Formats: sequence, structure tokens, C-alpha cells
Amino acid sequence: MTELGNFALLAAFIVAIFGIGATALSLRRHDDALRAAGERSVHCFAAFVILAAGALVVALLDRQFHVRFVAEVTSRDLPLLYTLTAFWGGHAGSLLLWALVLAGYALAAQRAVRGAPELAPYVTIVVLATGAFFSAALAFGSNPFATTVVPPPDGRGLNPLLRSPWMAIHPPALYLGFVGMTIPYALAIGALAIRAPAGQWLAQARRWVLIAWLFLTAGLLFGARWSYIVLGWGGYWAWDPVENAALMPWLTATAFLHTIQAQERHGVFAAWTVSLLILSFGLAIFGTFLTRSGLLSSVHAFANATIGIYLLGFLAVAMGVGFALLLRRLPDLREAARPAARMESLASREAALFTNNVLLLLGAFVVLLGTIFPILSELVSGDRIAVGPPYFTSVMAPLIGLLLVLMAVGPLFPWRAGRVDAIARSAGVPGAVAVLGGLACAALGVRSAGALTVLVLCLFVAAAVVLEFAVAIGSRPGRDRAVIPSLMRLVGANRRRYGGYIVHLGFALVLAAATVSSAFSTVSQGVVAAGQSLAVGGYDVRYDGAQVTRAPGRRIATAAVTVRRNGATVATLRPRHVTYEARGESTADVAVRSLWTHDLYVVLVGLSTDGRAALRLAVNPMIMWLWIGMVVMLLGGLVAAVPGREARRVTTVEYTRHPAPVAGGDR
Amino acid sequence: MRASRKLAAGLIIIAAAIAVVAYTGIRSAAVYYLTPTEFAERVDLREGRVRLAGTVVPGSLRTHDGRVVGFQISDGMTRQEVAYDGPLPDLFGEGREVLVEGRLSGSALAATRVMTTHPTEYKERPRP
Repeated sequence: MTELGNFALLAAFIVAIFGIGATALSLRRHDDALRAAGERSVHCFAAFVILAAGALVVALLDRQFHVRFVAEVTSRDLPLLYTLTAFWGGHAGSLLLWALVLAGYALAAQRAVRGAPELAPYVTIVVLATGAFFSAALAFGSNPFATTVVPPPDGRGLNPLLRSPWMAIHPPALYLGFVGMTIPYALAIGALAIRAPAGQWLAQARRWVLIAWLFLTAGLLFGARWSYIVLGWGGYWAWDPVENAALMPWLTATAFLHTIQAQERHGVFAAWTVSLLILSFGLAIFGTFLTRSGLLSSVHAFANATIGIYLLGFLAVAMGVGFALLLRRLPDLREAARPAARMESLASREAALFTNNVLLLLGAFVVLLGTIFPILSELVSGDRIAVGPPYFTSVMAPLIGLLLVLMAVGPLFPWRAGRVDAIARSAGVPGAVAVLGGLACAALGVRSAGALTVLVLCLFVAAAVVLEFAVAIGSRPGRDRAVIPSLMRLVGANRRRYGGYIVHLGFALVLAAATVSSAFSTVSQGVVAAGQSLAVGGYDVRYDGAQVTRAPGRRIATAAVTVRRNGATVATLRPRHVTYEARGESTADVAVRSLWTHDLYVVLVGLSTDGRAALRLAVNPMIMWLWIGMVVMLLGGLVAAVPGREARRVTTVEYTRHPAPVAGGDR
Repeated sequence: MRASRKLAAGLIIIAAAIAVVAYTGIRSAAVYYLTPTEFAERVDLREGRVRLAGTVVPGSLRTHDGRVVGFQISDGMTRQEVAYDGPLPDLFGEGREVLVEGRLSGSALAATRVMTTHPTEYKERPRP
């Protein structure tokens, strides 16, 4: 399999280089045959990458331990599911996953630009250049098919932390998000190169960004869930560099999804919107770079691989080309914009959207700064200085607060120009709801000013969204019909708008849950003998003893605890402590009792030889709503992504070179 | 003044405010990130919070009631005693690379946070 794999990687690289050359030449010579050859090389590239991935899957399933990567991530006792997901359990395999996802996107993108013969060659070149880079990194750098002379009798087995269903789906989702940013970038490069007017291709780019955004959101959700269930520290977000790596492109993609509305409607912010596409691709590559190099201190730190330097070079080229092209086309973009395309009033949707963008970009910037601070400080002063979670929370808190305010009032701002008193009037009801809710929270015992502020703002957002839906349903004909069908019709009539509001609602839910759970979680830990109890947050948790069992390669200690509340037994939980003998590592299997109001979180920290157990207990309120909120965000994104009437309208536009100057006038 | 100018002015004020918050955030959250050897040499850093990277020295674990309460980390040259009484991350163990964050108390680093790194590369074991 290694010969086949190596051949496929090398072939993918060569065919990508050939495709770039052929396509570039076809642009110069206007040669259709060369162009077709370039397009076919995308198919060949995809075929070879799929072949390489297939070879790796076979090697994994077949436990070919003479392949380094296979020996690193699998062992004979590894179950089938984790043998397959071991594909992305090490860095060579995850790079191959990157290339595989790229191949899929490349095929889809090629179909999507079929109707745009001017644009297509540039998309081909960008996609193949990215593909060439990653296949070269695989073939010559981090090769998953590298072999050892003396194969070990058994592999080391997959990193125990990765043996979780959440880790099975987290990396693919994240990579579908990261790699998805390649296509909008390719469209941007092509459109800038052929001077396509901003409005037309951006509508298509929006759909790709939305798909990538959905996968990134899902990836963040799965990662947070994994962190909560598997890592056993009771949290879901630690401002770890690897988490930040996914958050940064998410922030810029979110920014893009906001300004694109103003761009499409009124032709404003063209250059800004395009630069967000370039930036999102850059941050996605940077995210890959961050997760694939051991440069930063990180709980996820993977192997030290020199691939980091090449990735940084690739990133520099991609950003250089993107922004240089954008600068050169800046006058064109300005000229092509309608003369009336300028912001008219501060009390306008345009101004609100732009403010939102600046806040999101500031967020991405402070996250970037905090993430690479150890490198920056080493370059400047020679000392590596890290900044921890307090930095991120102290800086992100005001930004998130401002974003929440905008989220509530922004949709009330009319396009072009509005009247401040009218906006204030329509914000009155949700504002009152938020203040009343805040008073209720204070009465219930929320004392921290920060937590109270966030909760009030979340309520403000939720009330504004609900009111928006209620008013829209009320004002539609046939108002006496049932609520649910008319809600469905309303959302169906303007998926993008109402999908966006659903996302806002989910975001408010996530933040409210995160605030409450971090402000009110109670923790208790101790060492108990069988029959002894620990108390936490109104619970009485009795340790009933532990059992040690053996499974292939593992020693599993299972503790039985009886959970009582107000004297009545409500549950028996079985937290486990698993020791992986081949790797000499152990992990805690958290036992969680999830309720709508709170989670009881039980960790078996250790078991002493005399049978006493070290337990850590936590009661985390409202955690369930964090997951629900993220799912609501995903649903909202899906609603907006499904092509509705509007989307069908905008995707039928034609791409043209050198647009005729548009006469002044206002649609 | 045009609307866009006013907006730009407002946003610059927000950005400046965030810059101030970020600066103070970095000032208060910054920890030096060192190896035990560097930490031993840098007398000037003995007072503040530091983050040390090293390997848990085999046989150095001190336990109390089945729970780890202290250990030593090493970068191959210098050892540093660590006192810690909190939740240990998964995969913590002897010979494992860890990051510890805390403040010096006596000769031991009183750690408030212990993190593990997860190398995934396969190392060939020496043949017998």
C-alpha cells in the first residue's frame, strides 16, 4: 500500500503542477484545449488524492505496522471505528484529510463555475496551487506512507483522548470549514483578475462561505463538547491556540456574511467585503499551520514538524497575491460601485453592519495577538511570554457586549437612513423586557455586574428577535391561521434574513448559558472510602466502591456512585478511569447527569491501592442550553444556506468582463 | 461631516478603547514561559508568575490518598519541584511533557494550572 500511496501523492503533485501550467498558458494563448487539460487535471488531482486516502485506509485497516503513521496511531486492539478515525489521529493523516477535503471542494467548485468561462481558469489555478502545496507537503514532508525498516509487533494505539465519537467527527467538520474558505478565495482571485464587478460573483462566494461557516460552527460545537466530555476539567473552552485557530476564520467569515448584505443591496463596502474573503482564507491556512506545528504551547500540541515553515511561506504568498490584486483593482471596484453607493447616515443598517464588522475583526485581531504572543514577545525581547485565558476574557467581554447590543438593535435600523427616535421607539419593547429580565435575574441571585450585563443583553437580543418574528407574522395576510405554519411560511419567504435571526437567537442562548455556567458552577473534591459521601450543589454523592476490569490494552477502574438529592436517590453514575497500558497514559471517563437546569459532573481522578477514590464533582448550571444554542445557530445557518427564492435569483447572474459603466441611478 | 467620517471616528474610538483593554489585559495576564534551566538562571523572574515546560521526572510523583500532590519536572539539565493540588489533566504521567503555571513558594513552584501536551509521533523503542 505504501508504494501505491506514495505514487498517488507524487502523481497528485505532478498533475497539479501540470494543471497550473496548462491553465496559465491557456490564459495567455486563449487555447481551449489547454484550458480543458487544466480542468481535467483537477479531476485527476482529486482522483489521485482519493487513491492516496484509500491506500491509507487500507494500511490502517490492515494494521501495516511497518508504516510509521499506522504504528503511531493504531494497535491490534483498536476497534474498527477508531481505526478509521485514526486517519486524522496524527499530523500526516490530517494533512491528507486536508487534501482530500480540498479535492472534494475542487470538484464541486469546478461544477459551480462552469457557467463562467472567464472566471473558471483562475479558480482552477488557485485550487490546484493549494492542492500542489498540500500534496508536496505530504509527499516530501509529512508523509503518511513513510516506513520503518523493523516493523514493531504492535502499534502504539490511538491517543486515548481521540477515542471519542466527538473526536471522530470534530476534525472532519473543522477541516471542511477551513478548506471551504479556499473556494471563496479562489473566486475572489479570479474575479479580481478578470475585473468582474463586485456584486455578481460575491453572491456565489457567499454560499461557499456560508457552507464553510456551517462546518466551522459544527467543528467548534463538536470540539467544545469533546472538551467537556473527554478532557474532564469541566469546561468547554480554554482559549487554547487550537481553539483560537478555528475561532479566527469563524469571526472573519461571520463578518463577511454580514457586510455581503449591504454589498448586495446597495453596492457599498465592495473592497472591504473582498478583503474579508482573502483574510478568511489566510486565517484558515494559519489555523492549519497552528494546529500542525509545535510552535506554540498548547494542550493539543502535535509533533514538531518543519512543515510549519512551508505553510507560513504558502500563507505569505496567498495573502500577498490576494491583497496585491485587491489594491490594484481598488479603483475599478470604486468606479463600478454605484455613485450613490455610500453610507448616508449613521442611523442606517449599513452603518450597523459596518460597526459589527469592525467589532468582529477587532475580536479576530485580539485573539490572534493573544495566540501568537509567545512568538511575538520572543522575537521582540527574547523572552517567551504567554497570555492566559484572563487576557482573552477581559478583552473579548466588551467586544461581545457591543456585538450583543448591535445584534438587538441592528435589525431595527432601516437601510440607507433612519430616524433615531423611530429606532429608539422600536427598541423600547425588547429593551423593557431585557431590563425586567435583568431585575428578575438580580432577584434570583445574580450579583456579578459583568454576568448581569451579559444576561440583560442576551435577553435584549432574544426579545428583539422574537418581536421581529411576531410583528412579521402579524403583518402578513392570513394572520388568523395557526402560528407554526405562518412562521414556516415567513421564514421560507426570506430564508437569509430569518435564518440570520435564528443564528442571533442561538448566539444569545450560548452566551447566556456560558455566563451562567461559569458564574454559578460549584466544585467539590475529595478522597473517599466506600460508603462515604461528598456534597455538591444540593447533591449528596455517595461512593459505593470501585471495580477494576481489563480490556485488551486497557485497565479500567469503574467507580459506582449513588446520587441523592433531598434524601431521595436520583441516579447511579459510573465514572471511569482508563489506563492505556501500551502508551502508559490514562484518561478519566466523565459521568454526567444532564438536566435542563444543570449538569452533575463526576470525575474519577484516581483510585488508591486501598480502594479509596479521589473524586471531583461539579454542578454546572445551564450547560444544556449551551449545546442547544449552538445547535440553534447551526439550524439558523442551514435555513440561510438552503437556496430560497432570492438565492435562486442571484445565482443565475452571468459573469462578464469589463462591465459597462453603470449609470447613476438608484434601484 | 459625512456619515462615514463620523462612523470612522466612532470606530477608531472603540478600537482605541479595545487596544487599551488589550494592553492592560496582556500586562496582567502575561506569564513568562521558560524551561527549568532558564528559570533557575533568571533570578529576576523568581517573583512573578511563570509557565514552565518540562518532563515529569519518573519516580518523582508525591501522592497523598491516591492523589498526586507534587512532582518534579526537568528539561534534561535542571529539575524543578512542583507543588500542585488540583485536577490533573488527562494523560498526565511520569515521563510526560507538561506545562505548569504558578508562582515560586520556597523552593517549589506552587502551580495553579498543569497542562499536558500530546505528542503523537511514533518513537522507535531501543531494541534489546
